[in-house]
Amino acid sequence: MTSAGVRIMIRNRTLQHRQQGAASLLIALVLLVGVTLITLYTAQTMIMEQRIAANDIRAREAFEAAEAGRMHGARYADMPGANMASTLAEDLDSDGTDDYSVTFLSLGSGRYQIQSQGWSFDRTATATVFQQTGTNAYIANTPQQPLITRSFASDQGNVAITNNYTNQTVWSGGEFSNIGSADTYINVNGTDNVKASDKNNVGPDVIQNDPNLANATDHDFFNNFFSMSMSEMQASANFNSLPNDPADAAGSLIWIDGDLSMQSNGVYGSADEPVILIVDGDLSIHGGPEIWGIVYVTGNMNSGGNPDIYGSAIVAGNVTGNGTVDIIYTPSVFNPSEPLGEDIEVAGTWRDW
Amino acid sequence: MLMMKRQTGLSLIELMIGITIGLIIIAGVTSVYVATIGSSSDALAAARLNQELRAAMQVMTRDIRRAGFWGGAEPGDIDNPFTRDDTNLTVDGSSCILYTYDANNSGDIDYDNPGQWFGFTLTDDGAIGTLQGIAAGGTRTTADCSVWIFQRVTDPDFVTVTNLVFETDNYQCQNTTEATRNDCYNATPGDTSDDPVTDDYIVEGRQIDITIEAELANDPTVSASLATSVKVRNNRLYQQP
Repeated sequence: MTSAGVRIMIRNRTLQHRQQGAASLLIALVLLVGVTLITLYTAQTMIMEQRIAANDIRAREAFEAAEAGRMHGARYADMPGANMASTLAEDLDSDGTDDYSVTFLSLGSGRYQIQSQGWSFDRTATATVFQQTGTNAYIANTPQQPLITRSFASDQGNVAITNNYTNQTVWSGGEFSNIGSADTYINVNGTDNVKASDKNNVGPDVIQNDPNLANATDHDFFNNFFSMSMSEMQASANFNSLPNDPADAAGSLIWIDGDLSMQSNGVYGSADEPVILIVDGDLSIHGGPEIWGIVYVTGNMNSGGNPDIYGSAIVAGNVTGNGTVDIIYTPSVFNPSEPLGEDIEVAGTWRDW
Repeated sequence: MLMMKRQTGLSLIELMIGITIGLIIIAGVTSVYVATIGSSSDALAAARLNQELRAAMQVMTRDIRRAGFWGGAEPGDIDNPFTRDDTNLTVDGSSCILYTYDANNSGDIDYDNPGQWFGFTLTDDGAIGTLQGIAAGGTRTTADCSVWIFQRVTDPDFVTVTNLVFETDNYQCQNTTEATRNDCYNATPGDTSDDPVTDDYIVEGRQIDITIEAELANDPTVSASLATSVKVRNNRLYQQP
């Protein structure tokens, strides 16, 4: 045998060895392919799960944004002078796009339907909720007289009281003739401002010595006119001191805790946007303010100026001082187109469909 | 010729080494395969269980939140026909809730209209059921779950709901007639001075706390529980009887 023949045989034998042992490789390969397929399937399912969870979160974001808008709208409606034709919007995450948009639909007599649409932060999901607000009016019983007091004091200032509408000018628990100087004017046979009473000639337009009024507790006296307790009214007041700009007072409830010295000559409120000014203490007026609405004083009303009150003055104490007070009964301030009151969400009107 | 007859197969030692190495490789690959299958099926089962629970919870919270809606609501009108004694949101037992709302904005409750009556319960075969209709001869009321027929919204062959609880412990209530009687659920036990008296006006804010516990029907070791709270947006107003 030649050496070349031996070399060929060795090569043949080597080749035969190499072709064996593929079983392990094939089995391993099949199993690994199986593992790959299962992993892919699981991954796909998990991605789907993540998508569902992400959609869920976006839906919640949109709903919560809509709810935030609804609450914003409800608080906005309670603000005096709120422009109910406006659209409220807010960019909660500061990304340059608004996350909710709130519009108001008037249902008449101070009622509104709030429609709030919210979006998720990526704006792919949206939700809308509706809620009605109504006015819980502050005034429970409209005062029928321009001046209502529990008693009169002899150091009374000059008071001119006019009522051309209901022909009642004074309702008091005290004796009208104790008054320093007061003239009342009513409408007689179609003529306005006819003098009806003074301290010496008390006409039927003056109700005096009413024991119910004289003996009423502070709480009862207050609730003769207002629908809430004093603490509730105080809590829902729009201002706790006189606003610097009298124009801001229009349509608001002002509650002064303690004495108030009023130096202003401004105009507070208007015929259709009256104010309710409640002074839990003594009110002393030095300027010549013009007040449209109700002035309620738990102590005494002292006038060194010459205020004009269009509406009604209700004084639990006395009216004193040396100024001149003009009180002109004006029915429109008790029934403005937007009743004065706390705008509250009407129970049973929330819906999201 | 003699040379050609020489054995060309493997020696015993070569064979054993080859078999051993092959077995080690196959064993390793098999263990990876088994582990992958096991973890994948666990992950898939957990994901499906979560999805099932989340979907059921979302359906319940979205709907319960609407309870008491009334198309004819007016400010100050407390006679909401959807919060009366027989229509008010009620948890019967602990795992069945019934309520009504004015789904068609009609302004009044309609005892013949099944579309205003809603509820969820835990069915006997371990599923969450949604109210479908009234049993023959039953009177429509939210006080009694047994008169209602429920349709399953989860699949009992796949998920067994072991527990469904609706809790009303976090209801809040305010007496608006007297500022001093703020809490009308007997704030100080034993002291009746702050309890509501007849004709007091009460505002009741309802919060339902929902808990679902569930497990896979074919593998009870895979279980999950989900809890959430839903504030019913429409408060109930009533006069203390």
